[in-house]
Amino acid sequence: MNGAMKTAVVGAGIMGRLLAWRLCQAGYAVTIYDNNPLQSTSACSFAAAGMLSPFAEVESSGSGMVELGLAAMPLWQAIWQQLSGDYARGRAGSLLLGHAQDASELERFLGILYARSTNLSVKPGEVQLLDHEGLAELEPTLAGFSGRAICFPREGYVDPVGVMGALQENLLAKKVTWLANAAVTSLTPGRVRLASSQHTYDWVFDCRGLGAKESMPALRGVRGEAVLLQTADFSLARPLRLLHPRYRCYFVPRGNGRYVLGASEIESDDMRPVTVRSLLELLSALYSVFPELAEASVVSTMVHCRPALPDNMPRLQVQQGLMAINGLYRHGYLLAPVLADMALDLMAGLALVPAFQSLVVQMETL
Amino acid sequence: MFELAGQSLQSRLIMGTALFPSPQVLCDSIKRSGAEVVTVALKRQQPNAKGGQHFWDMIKSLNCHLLPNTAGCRTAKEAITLAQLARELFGTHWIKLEVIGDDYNLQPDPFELVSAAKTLVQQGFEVFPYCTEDYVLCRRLQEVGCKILMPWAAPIGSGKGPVNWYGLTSLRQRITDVTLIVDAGIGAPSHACQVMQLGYDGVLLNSAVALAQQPDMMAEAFAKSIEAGRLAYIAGLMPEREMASPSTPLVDTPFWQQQEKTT
Repeated sequence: MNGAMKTAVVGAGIMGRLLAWRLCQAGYAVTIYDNNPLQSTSACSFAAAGMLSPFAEVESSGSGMVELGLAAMPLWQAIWQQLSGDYARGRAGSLLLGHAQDASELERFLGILYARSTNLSVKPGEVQLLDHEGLAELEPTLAGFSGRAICFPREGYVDPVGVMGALQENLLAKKVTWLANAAVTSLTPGRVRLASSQHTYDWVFDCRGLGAKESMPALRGVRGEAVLLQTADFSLARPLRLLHPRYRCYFVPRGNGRYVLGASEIESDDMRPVTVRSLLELLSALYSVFPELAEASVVSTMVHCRPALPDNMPRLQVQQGLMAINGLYRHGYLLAPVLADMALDLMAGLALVPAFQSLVVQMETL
Repeated sequence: MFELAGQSLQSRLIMGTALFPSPQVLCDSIKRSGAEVVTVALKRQQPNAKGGQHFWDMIKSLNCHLLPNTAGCRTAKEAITLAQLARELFGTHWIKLEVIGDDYNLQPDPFELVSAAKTLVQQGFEVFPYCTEDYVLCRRLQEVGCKILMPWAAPIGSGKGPVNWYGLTSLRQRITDVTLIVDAGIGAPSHACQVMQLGYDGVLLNSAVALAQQPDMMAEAFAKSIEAGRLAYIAGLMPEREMASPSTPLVDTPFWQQQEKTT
């Protein structure tokens, strides 16, 4: 029925790829425009950690984040069932750790979690305070950790590089037109302009992230630096975060003995390589929890700038024939499935969940 | 009216700009605090050179006096270079001088601080040194030309409030000829009120607002407490007494049963 509807997705980061995939599933014809080569891994989405953390991310976002994130968790489960490919993922929960002298940080975190989540969306059991025995049982690698720990049993993670690859393979297999190295000059309702040509569609989706700055002037970059580590004889089943008075640090499994350690958070769109200070902060925070990782290999370092809006919440800017989805900030992997579904609903004229309505900005069609 | 380095201000609150959950919350909080001076760190993010233009545009939109700081510097040399850069970037000779001696509690290094302050004052800066409540250190800073001093109440971000009450009290009593602003360690509006009651000229805050569950509301709470503390200082507090002393004879007690004064 939708076979005749033509759509264009501009930008092939996680938002663009996931949306294109959902559009294909829904029967739309999809063309992807991306300014990178087909095999490129330079999009911001490749540098992400891939944590699926509705609760643990509450600190750096406004109210509504917990509800959005919780809506994403079943969607990711469905994606795992439908999206073929070999990529690491887990939904055995995540851990939030604090050294003994930083115990007040955990208290503050919980205070903020309860203050910023509405309608009692944090149900009993979703936030579990662990004692030493409980922590050692859950994650034997942490048996020697003497601080305090909280487990969020419903959280999880996904390997961003693997998912980006799997989505691309699936899209190409579905005969989606993928225009790589495409220098898009402007997007207007129903129209994609390149330097020497223009193409018309029923709907155009702008998923360019920071590349869309001129059409969303409030967008800014928030620099993040991360490290990819490789280690044998070490195992961690779930992502963990370390609370510290000044550094924010997470450590996420990537499969095959690889782990991502991230990430700094700097108000800047500077893309220069990782700084000594950031590297020192991240690695010493890690070492303070896992001294046994002193001999792990640093495979690579990653630097990227997350696209963010002033309230650090995502936005869908809609007019007939053109929808911009942006501002995913630290939450790209967590939120992309929810935003993709919202985009499809808006396109079909369906009503959204009222709680998510505030993310939509209706633009007047000129 | 509050005279700070040649500027007439209404508010005695200076706000930091770090650690807020989002730029939007930062802007809302600063507006609600009524602060007219904001301090910004330069070490890791700068307009132009380090890609932070967007953040600076947002700070500028607040229309506050900008007090650049040298947070993250560990030597006088580093701090001086950063101060010079700040002057060039923002066209202000104000500098909040931070030279850190210990990375865990961010305690100032008094020796490097005095040395950096001396050079910067000579170069025409209005130096706002972040220092401890040590009387001799404050005197040395005054001697090298600082007209504003910013002693801590407690280590940065600790939220403990004044840990050396005697030190802060005697500092204000003995140093009356420069502006004294309490910078760091304030956790609650009551702490800010207490130091204002001692006669401090102002308070600089960041974590206590940024890390609150509702930062903008906390910003207003601080604005009110600082105003209350200032009014109380001017109004003159009633001195404390060691024991209750009735102001009129006790009518419910016959005079022959009333206790004789022991003095």
